[in-house]
Amino acid sequence: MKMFNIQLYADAALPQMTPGDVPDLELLLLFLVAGVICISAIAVTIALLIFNRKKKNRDLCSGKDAENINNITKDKQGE
Amino acid sequence: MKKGNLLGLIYFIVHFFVEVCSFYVVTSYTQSEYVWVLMLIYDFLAFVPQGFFGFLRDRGIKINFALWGTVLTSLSLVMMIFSLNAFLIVATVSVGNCLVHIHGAELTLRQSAGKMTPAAVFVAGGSFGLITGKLLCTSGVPAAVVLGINLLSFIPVIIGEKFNSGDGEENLAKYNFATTKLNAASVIALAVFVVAVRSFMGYGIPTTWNKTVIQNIALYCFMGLGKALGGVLIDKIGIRKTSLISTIVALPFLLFGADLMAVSLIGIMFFSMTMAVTLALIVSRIQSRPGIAFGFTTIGLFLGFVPLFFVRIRSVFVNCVIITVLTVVCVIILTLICAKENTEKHPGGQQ
Repeated sequence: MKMFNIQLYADAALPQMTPGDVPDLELLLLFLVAGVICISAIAVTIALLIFNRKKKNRDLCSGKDAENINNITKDKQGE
Repeated sequence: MKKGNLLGLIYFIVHFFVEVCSFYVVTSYTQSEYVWVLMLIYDFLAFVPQGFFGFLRDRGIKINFALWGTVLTSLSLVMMIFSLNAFLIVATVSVGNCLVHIHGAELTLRQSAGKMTPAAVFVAGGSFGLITGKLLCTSGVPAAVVLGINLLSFIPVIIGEKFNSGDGEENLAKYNFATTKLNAASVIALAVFVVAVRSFMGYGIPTTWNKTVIQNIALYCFMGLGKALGGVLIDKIGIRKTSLISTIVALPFLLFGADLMAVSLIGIMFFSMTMAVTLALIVSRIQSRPGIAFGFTTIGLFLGFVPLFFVRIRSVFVNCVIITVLTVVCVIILTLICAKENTEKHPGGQQ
């Protein structure tokens, strides 16, 4: 079982050898594809977060809220 | 016992079972000529998509991912019994692992009133499970026996669902561990960087004392204890002190414990506490999105260890220098982004 390590902290599986030991360029290509998918996943997550935040801000600044604020101000002035 | 703590304990057991199954399967293929690709597939599918499934849970999708995750991990063992394709088996077990993780994290965070102990206890279960799974495989235990063990996981998953009441929004609003002086994106980016750095450092920790099976078991047990202790200490003494213990206090134990098991185990226990710290920081800045918050930490873990698929530094001295430098960087970042004494108020949160 010398082909395999468990990475401390991350609980991940690590091979004992690196591509330096395993001369196979296809593996490098696979990593690049995995990397692109990984970066895309991060980008989509960040984009969704930004979109949600903007949507929230838009809702807060909508006419409905402004109307409520006006009503409250009028009530206070009435008092 | 409080509901959050009980859920933490229930999902500790679920996490234990899923890692037993996952590492039994992974260890089974260590003699394969495709071991490198199989490991990369396992790590990628188990770690990276968690943010996506977390996002779905955050949006209110009521699918019990832990249940489906356990179905998939059980299915992978059935496929092993029938000697099906190794890539298919590893992909199935890793997606199952991913689903169980995200469900456990999201549920424990959502049902705990601003406390980190339940989520940290849930996370800790994995360390005990992975060494058990590895040992079951190396001992030649048949896959059918492990399948029987894995099926037991359905019991805590079903019990856990009984405690899943309400949307837990009021609980999430109580996570206030991160500074509000920096914007949310900066805090998350810095916390993910710390996760990645800690994940990378995991490989370089000198453990030349680790030679026997018992020592190996002790190593992973102390790692699990550290992960749970991180959450407990955050709740008891605050996130700043906990982050300092897990970084700067852990450093001498890690560096001078290469040949001393007791010293090294204390260092690894402290080192593992950072896991709860970074999760607390991220969830504090996206309080209503605990699933995505956990997803950020797992992406950080993946980014941290994936370079090790290509480059390894074998020199103990160089690794010690790297660990020291990276620890100093982590201390600076954590000091910047941890809230002082948990008293900083959030614009959208409640105290």
